[in-house]
Amino acid sequence: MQLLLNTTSPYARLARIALAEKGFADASTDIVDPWGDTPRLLELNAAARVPTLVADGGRPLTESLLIVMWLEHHRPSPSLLGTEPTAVVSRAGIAMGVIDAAVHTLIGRKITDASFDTAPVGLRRRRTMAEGMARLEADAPAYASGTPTLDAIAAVIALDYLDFRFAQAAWLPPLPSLRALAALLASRASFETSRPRG
Amino acid sequence: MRLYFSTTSPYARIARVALAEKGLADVDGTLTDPWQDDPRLLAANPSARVPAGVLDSGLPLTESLLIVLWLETQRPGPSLLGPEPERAISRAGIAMGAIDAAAAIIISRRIDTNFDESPVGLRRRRSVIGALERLEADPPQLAHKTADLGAITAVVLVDYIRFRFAGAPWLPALPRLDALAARSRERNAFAYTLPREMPKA
Repeated sequence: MQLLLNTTSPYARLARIALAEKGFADASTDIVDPWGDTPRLLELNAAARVPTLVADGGRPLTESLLIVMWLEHHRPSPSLLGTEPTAVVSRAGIAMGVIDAAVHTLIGRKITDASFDTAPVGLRRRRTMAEGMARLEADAPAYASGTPTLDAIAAVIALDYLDFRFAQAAWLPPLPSLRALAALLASRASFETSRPRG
Repeated sequence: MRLYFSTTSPYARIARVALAEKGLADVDGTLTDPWQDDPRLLAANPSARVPAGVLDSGLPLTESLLIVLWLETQRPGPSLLGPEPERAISRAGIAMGAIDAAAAIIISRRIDTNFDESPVGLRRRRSVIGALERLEADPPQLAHKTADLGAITAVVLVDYIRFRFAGAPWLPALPRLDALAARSRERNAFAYTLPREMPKA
């Protein structure tokens, strides 16, 4: 099994953390450049995106949430959905919406330069980020010990990615509960080794 | 469950087909144009995107693949992963990559009317073409009582491409995928969710 990833993508980070928390911490990784069209990545994934996971039989598995689905099927225990799967999936959806909005903003800048952020579609993405994080803050995922659940993983990935890409953005609300959650998880190897960096 | 959807979104269609194939009968569909910011949709989903479900408990469920994951945990049988789960998930990944690329083209036209021929636009187009070629070479089947996720996403992709990019000269020939899509319409869940323009409000 091998995971193709880069060091910035929140989707790649989700797959990486999920793999490690499921007990595949020793899966090998290959750092690739999705926008530079690394040939091996393009061969495995027509969309040239990360994460791309190569299963032991050689079959490529793509899309972070599909990789989570495959992991839940392939190795059910420990589950990333915890004891209250409906609440976990509900919160994870809000966090994934924030992550999508943040990534769309970064890609929007490639299309129309930095003016994208304050164009109508850009402001819509910003609203998603601010409002999504406010909702997660009001009902923050819980973490005590052991395997974190998908909502906690996705919420911390969203927070760290916003800090990485939109440091000190004035439009983000204060997020003390989410920051406390991120601090709790920061020392777990899966989170620590996957922190976004340029 | 209440489910907010549009008639154009491929993501909403995946959720609607998945719910129907799982046999969830108590779904109350509410048609909404996500770009119009229906306050009820925003209350359910701060992304103002469809699909957005609201359970009887009030909890929202968003993101098509998370809704599928939730369905698999709450109602394991019949599974949407079929007899070969890894294969179904691998094919679904190819189709989802192309659905994302196609939807990105449609949305990006809102910020750049020449987006299709721009470098990022051509990259999205390449993603669509590459995924279609791969799926055409090894198409999923609809052989079982319940459609698996690979077949669902491939049909949603092909129908969305035919809806949004009808007659585009850059599209490869897709005889096997077109046949799969035609066959899917014998099933209610696919027939009544075929993409079409939103009805006028």
